[in-house]
Formats: sequence, structure tokens, C-alpha cells
Amino acid sequence: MASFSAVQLQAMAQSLHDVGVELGQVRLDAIGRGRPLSDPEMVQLLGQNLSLLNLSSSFAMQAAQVALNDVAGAVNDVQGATGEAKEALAGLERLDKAIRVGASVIVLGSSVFTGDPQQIGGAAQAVYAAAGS
Amino acid sequence: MRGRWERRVGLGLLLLCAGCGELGEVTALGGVADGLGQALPQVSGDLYGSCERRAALVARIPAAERPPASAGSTPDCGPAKAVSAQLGADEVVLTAYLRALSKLGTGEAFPYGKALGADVTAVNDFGVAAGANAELAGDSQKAAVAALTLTGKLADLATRHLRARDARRLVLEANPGVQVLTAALYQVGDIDYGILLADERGYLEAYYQGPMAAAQSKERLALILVQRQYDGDVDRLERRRAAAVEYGAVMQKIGVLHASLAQAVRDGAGFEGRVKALAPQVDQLRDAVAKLEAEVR
Repeated sequence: MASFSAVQLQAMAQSLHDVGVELGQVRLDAIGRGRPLSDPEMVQLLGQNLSLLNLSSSFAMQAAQVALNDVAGAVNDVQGATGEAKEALAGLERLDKAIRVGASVIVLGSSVFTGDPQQIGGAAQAVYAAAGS
Repeated sequence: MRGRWERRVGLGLLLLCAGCGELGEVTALGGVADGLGQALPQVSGDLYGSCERRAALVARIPAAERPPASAGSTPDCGPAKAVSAQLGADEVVLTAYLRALSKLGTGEAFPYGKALGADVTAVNDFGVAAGANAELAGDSQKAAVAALTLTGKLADLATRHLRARDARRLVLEANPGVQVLTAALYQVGDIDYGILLADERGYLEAYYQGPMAAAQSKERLALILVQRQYDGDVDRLERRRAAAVEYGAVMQKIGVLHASLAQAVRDGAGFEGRVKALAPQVDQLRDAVAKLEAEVR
């Protein structure tokens, strides 16, 4: 079976749609002139009208499938870049933690000179908290 | 020997500052990811939704007027469901990338800034216990505040440089994929979905206009009600079509903006100015995303 490009499939879908719409108008004109809805010819026209539109949708759907299948490699590339971004962020988060631990140690060092066990204890706890976060 | 070290330090500082102040538009590009995450699935999911609505219309046609199943007028929504799912998955890949880029740009994941602020406050609030050397404690307080302030400044410089370096590398690496992906999503979301909606409109015309054309004058009140129902359905369909057009516009704008960012990275010199010049494009993308969000609401 010949394989069509997404653009070719779109063009076929559009043509089928146009013919389907025209057939629909023929049916509506006939009903307007008094043909009953249940008239076998009207039922047949409705069937042709809808099946052409349905076929048009099937072609459009195939065009979408072709387009999406064609981008599988690109999707992998973008996913790979996202993974790298997440790794970079994880590295920066480790740096962030190191900065916070270092800063809390500076606070602890300064608290020692206050001679207040409560303040020293609080600063020491902050070091544990920063290291554990 | 000493001179060589001085040159190395000088070069290090130069490299450190090469990444300063350039993340704004990268952040803005990623900043639209949240809006996209909300709006895009409304469009991709409706490829299947449109098929289901067409099938429901056929099922509601009275048996005497309905074409036989063999006529092929009832859609098989299996393929539409698969395409919707695949399109949705590709959208997630794109928004996840933009979100990760945004996170690198904003540095929102790094709470050290707040922590350092709290540490400075804690040191300033230290009281001196009886018997302790107040002068020594005061000097220590000053030294600690100075050290914390310097830590903050150095950390800002270092993390900003690392984030800028990573963001620039990612923009370059991802650009070919982003171009192909946004072009495909434009094709599917605007063109293919547009054809589906036009076909659905044909189904609506057949479903409503036939009985309306056949209605007798004594059925005037019923006709008014049906007309209102028809107008409502057409209006909803037109909004979906408008959303599809906006979807396509958003994809094109993401592609163009990302390509411009990649070009700015490649050009290197004057990067900051080139990126700032992209601000109007960023605004246009933000507007398009806002329009899309409004259409799918």
C-alpha cells in the first residue's frame, strides 16, 4: 500500500469534506422542496453525506498519526533535554544545601561568643536542620 | 608563578560574569508552561471528543431516517482516542521541557537566599550572656554578618552563572527537537483537528437542518426551540475551532521564540541585548496562551 504524507492525507480529507458538504446541501434542498426525511433516497443521500464526512475525518486522523509518528525522534530529544535540565537542577539543589549548611555553621560560630547555651543550642540545631533538609 | 595565578583568577571572574543577568526571557518562555499545561489537553482531548459527538448525533437520528450502519456514517472513535492520547503525551513533553527551562531561569528551587536572610537576622538578634566578653561577641557578630552577606553574593553569582550556562546549553541542544515538535503539534492541533471540526459541523447541519427544513408552519414554537439548540451547538463548535487556531498560533510562536533564543546563544557576544530584544515575541506568546485559555474555558 502506498504511504502518503501528512499533507497529502490532509488534502484528501479536505476534498472528501467538500464533496460531503455539497451532497448534504443537495439533500437539504430536496427536503426544502418537500421530500420527506424518511424517503429512501433522502436516507441514502444522508448516508453518503455522512460517510464522506466520516471518511474525511479518517483521513485527517491518519494525517495526524503520520505527523505524530514522524516526530518520535524529536520527542526523545526534547525529553533528553528535560532530563538534563532536571539533573542540572538537582546539582544546583545540592549546591543550595551546601550554602545553607555553611551559613548555619557561621551562625553557630558566632553564637559561641555569646556564652549563652540556649542560643548556641538553637544555632547548632539549625545546622542539623540545614544538613538534613 | 604568582602572575600565572593572578591571570587564572582574573579569567575565572570574567567567565563568572559572562553568565550574569541573562535569564529573564528564558524564564518568560518557560513561564507560559503552566498556562499551556491547563489549556493544551482541552484541545488534544477534543480530537476524541469530536468523534464521540458525531457518533452521538448519528445515534439520535430516528431509525426511519437513519442510514444503515453499513453506509459508514457512524464513526469508529478508536483511532481518534489513540491520536488524542499521543498528542496529549507530546504536549506533556513540550510543557515539561519549558517548565524545566523556566526553573533553571528563575532559580526558584534554591531557597538559600531566604535562609541567609534568616541567618543574618538570627546573628543580629544574639544577646550576650552575663560573664561573656561583650566586645568579642560584638566583633564576632559583625564578622558573621559580613561572612553571610559575602556568602550570599558569591552564591548568587555562582548559581546564576551555572543556571545560565545550563540554560544556554539546553536551548541549543533542544532546539531542533522543539522545532520539529511544535511544527507537528501545529499541523495536528490546527489543520487536522480543524478538518475534524469542519466534518462535525457537517454532521450538525445534517442532524438539525433536515428536520428544520421539513418542519411545518404549525410547528413554529418547536422550531424556535430547535433553532436555539442548533445555534448553541454551532457556537460551541466555533469556539472549539477558534481554540484550534489559537493552539496552532501558540505552537508557531513557541517555535519562533525558541529558534530566536537558540540563535542568540549561538551569536554569543551581545547575548543579553539580543535576548532582551525578544521581549515583544514573549509578550505575543503570552497573549496567545491567554487567548487559548479563554477559548477552552
